[in-house]
Amino acid sequence: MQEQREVPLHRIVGRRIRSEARVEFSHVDPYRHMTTAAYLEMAINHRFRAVLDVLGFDTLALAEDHGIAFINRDVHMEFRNFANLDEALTIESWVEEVHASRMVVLVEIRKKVEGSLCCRIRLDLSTFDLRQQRLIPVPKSLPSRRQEPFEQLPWAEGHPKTDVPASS
Amino acid sequence: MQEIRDLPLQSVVGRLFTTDSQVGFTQCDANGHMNTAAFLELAINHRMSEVLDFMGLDTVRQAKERGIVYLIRKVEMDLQAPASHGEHLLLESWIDQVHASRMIVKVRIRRRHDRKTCCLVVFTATTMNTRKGVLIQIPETFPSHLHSEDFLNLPWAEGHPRPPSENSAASSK
Repeated sequence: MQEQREVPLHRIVGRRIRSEARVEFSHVDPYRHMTTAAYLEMAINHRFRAVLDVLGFDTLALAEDHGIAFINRDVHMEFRNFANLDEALTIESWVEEVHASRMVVLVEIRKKVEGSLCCRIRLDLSTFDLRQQRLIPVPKSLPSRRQEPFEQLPWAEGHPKTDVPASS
Repeated sequence: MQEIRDLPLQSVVGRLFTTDSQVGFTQCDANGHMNTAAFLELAINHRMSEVLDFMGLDTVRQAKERGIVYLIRKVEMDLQAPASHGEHLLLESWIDQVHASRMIVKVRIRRRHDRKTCCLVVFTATTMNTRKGVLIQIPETFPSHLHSEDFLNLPWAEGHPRPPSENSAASSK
């Protein structure tokens, strides 16, 4: 069985994870622009993959073994530029804040060539106990199967923050 | 050729459009709940169908013929309760406000059996002239292929009807 270690959640705050994608045929609307839902789906899939591959947090195992799930409570999306069919994109995300009852994750989707921002997404997540069907405090640490340190991941803009945000 | 006439946008503000849906297999995540992007896609598809069927506004045709498109600039989603595979949903939407440069559209998705709100989506939309590549004022009228204004018989959304001046009074907020 893969060895796991407990990683304090505050250690990943502000650590930026990057991936790339391309605007595919099924992502665009009749105007040939990437659709709003495709941005959100891309952001969520990127984040799920990043959390699993880069941070080593297996959220599905967490749900199955411990009955804990991270759920989206609020989503804010701001659109700045179109992404067109076949365009190459970069996706960057990071945990912006961790509070007692929620966690804020930011995702930015940019055009790869010119770097201009297409969409910024803010996800407000809470933790939910699937067995007791109630919201629970965000865990202070999570089991990670990743053995390497996170310190080589670059900082997101505005990080590292010296002031710890107040608990909500 | 289908006759097109221009109708005032103010006449549809606050009119509640309703449709049904059912949570499909591919809309669910690994925990069996409808996923966030599926809520958003459902809300947009519902709204676009309503615009076509009840307002008679063919947005794709308008883009081709007049070079005018409605763009989503901002989305706010408030997720309140899960929806599970097979569950029946009620979708309600309405134009809440029309300002000179933006329009606020709200979509509420409820579970049919207990009427609980799963998700409230607020869209801020603007209009763009794609030929000139510039944002333009929200047109005061929309081209409709409908011969009757059945949407005037639709129920009012919560907080409506409001005097037309109030439908855009919050523009500075």
